[in-house]
Amino acid sequence: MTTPDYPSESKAYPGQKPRPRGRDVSRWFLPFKRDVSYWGFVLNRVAGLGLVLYLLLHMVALSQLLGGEAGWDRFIDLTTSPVFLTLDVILLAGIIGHGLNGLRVALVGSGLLVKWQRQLFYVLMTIAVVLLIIGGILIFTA
Amino acid sequence: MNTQASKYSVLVIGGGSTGAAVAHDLALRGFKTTLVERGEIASGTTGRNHCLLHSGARYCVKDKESAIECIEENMILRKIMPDSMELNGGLFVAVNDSDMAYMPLFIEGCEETGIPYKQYTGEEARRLEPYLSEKTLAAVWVPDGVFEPMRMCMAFLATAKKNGALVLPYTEVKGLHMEGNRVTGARVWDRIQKREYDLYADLVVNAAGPWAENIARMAGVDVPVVPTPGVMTSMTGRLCQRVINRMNVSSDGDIIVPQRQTSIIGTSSWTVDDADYIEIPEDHVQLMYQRGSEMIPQVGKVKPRGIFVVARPLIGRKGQDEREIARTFEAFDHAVSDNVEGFVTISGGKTTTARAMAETTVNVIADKLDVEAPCQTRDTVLLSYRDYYLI
Amino acid sequence: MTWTVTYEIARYKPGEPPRTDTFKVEIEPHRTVLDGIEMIWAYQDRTLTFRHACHHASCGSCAFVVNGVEVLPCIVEIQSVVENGGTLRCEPLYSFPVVSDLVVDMGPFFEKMRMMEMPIITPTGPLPQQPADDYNRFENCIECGMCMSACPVVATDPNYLGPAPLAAAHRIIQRPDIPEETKQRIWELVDSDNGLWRCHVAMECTAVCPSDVDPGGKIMDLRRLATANRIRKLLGLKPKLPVGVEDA
Repeated sequence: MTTPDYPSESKAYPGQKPRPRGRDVSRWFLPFKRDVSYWGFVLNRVAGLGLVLYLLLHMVALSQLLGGEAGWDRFIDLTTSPVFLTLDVILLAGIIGHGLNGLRVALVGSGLLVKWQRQLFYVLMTIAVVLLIIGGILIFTA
Repeated sequence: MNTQASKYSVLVIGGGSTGAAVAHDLALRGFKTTLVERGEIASGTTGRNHCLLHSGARYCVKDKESAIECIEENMILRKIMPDSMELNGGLFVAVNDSDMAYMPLFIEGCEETGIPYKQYTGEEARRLEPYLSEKTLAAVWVPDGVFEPMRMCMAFLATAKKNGALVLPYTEVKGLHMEGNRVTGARVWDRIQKREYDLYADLVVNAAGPWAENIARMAGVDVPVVPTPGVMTSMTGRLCQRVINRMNVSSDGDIIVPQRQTSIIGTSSWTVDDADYIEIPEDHVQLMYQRGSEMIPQVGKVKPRGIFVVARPLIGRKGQDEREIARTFEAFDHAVSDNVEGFVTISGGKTTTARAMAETTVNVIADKLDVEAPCQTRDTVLLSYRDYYLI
Repeated sequence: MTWTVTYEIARYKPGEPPRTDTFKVEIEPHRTVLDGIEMIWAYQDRTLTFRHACHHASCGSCAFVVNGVEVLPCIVEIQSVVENGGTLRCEPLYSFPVVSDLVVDMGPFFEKMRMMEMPIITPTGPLPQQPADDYNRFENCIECGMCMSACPVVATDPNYLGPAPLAAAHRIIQRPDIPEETKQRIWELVDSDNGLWRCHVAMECTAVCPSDVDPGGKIMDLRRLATANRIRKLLGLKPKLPVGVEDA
């Protein structure tokens, strides 16, 4: 039995080299059994990554315009298909959710309304859901 | 640097207040000190202490020796561990005629043992402590305090480490090495790496609290340590600013200690054989609520936060009434009592007097090893407990 | 009346891969999670290592994770986290190096706490009814490390000071008995990239704190002070920090 190869010896436990935990990004996405405020944190991470991905896809989609008029027609067909409209709704959810929660983070993070940060989350997310429903209907009908 | 002492190595068994204070005193005098503790520091008796820094007034009538010890150590600890304790004093409250009858004896006891005190009427006491029972007739203020035992052990050990001591938690003594009638070291089990190895020393100190008898038997000797548990209940809410004691002969549930946002009622007393795991008797818990409520009616009604029990290491013979066993300490030099060299047991006592216990023990050790090394722990200010993790 | 409760404990000894051991205990439902762990050590497996001392939430040493959430097992009743026949998954605190089983190394955490130089005794007790004479009492924070374990930023950035040290800084800059230069030094540590600006308002620290410290709220309060000072500077006004700390 030998001491392991970890770099640092513990001062409180002489002769022992504790196992370091390393950077654990999975801790950003574990909302279950956690406080509701943590859901806001997860929402912002997930939506943020989603929006970055959207940005890339947006560039790809716009590049269709280089294909002239035929390219433009293909583009319109693609972007008005039900699948794409659904993705648009998901995108809208991400924007509204990330945006409104971001508003909460900006307020609380500047030291304002800190005692109401949980209530703020509930209120803003309710508004988000309402806006999303309206927006979703508009996307599919307009 | 005491070159005489540094020639000798001492192994201390037990990382509670006794062991920690002994290790600190040894290291301060220049001995090569190693301390082994089978769990986390203060995970035995000391950790689950009532956290009361005794003024000694509790013993000033029936056990004046103990009382004088306490008030002296109380003052010393304030000096060597500054900014580590709630120092709002304590009140001894009388809520009935029997208590009032005890009061003159109490006051006399304080006078004789040199404990500073101040008398208050029931009304004045209730102005100081609004949650006190309406039945409070009178009260006497004494310099009680509140400390945290684990942090105290860590303060002793941080200082000891600074002076060169080696502190090994999660290291359990499995046996003692002997050469003839001399203890030469211990066979220890590293519970983290799950391996056994040997530690040798010129002298071994048995400071294992209620387990002192188990350790002593490894050297073939017996020590009269009786594990004597008591129940304590930490209640939600800081219902008193000062320690509240009952003005009577020491009895169960007659102290309420405030700590942060809680009030801790204690304690009771019974004997067990095995101190490793002790079931908490429900009737003792109810007794705490009931007795505590006699002084602060709310305290038995708020939600309990933590209910705990641990065995005190009292010195006595088994079968003797627990309350009769004196809470003084004793250092056994086994060369004198049992013809076993190189082995000293220190047992009994209370955390408030840990430093004094260590002074006595290390004086005995210095004598045995014929080393000229006076005790300096009365005046040496301890390092912060945080340094335990950093040195 | 006892329940049968299963403990699934994350074990680790140096040189061995981490594994999970399962133990069944018969325990009364109002006993605590820590009582169960102690029973396992006493009667089933003496190699089990865990930290504990006071058993009443004042030393802060026993903290670990039960069923995914940080708790102080010495004050959590079995019946409040599980039913009869249920399972308790016990793991050591996240983001701390593991020494053995449930024992973690608090060294790096106390290094950060030491940087804050915060005393554990506060000069006035915050009791509403009492005249606040010369009283003192222990600060609420018991340095248990649960907030550090719950914080997702601490999990990914070891340089981030973390909730407990920042909350300590918040307490120390309010105290009139601490010298100016100490406060200045601490403010500089705190108003930095690895200090209060690193927080992403997950507020898990406040949620798990067993001692009403509200580190999340304290960090936000520090931000309010820092932001107010930035604005003051922009407007050409003199920056003002609590109790006379001047921005250099």
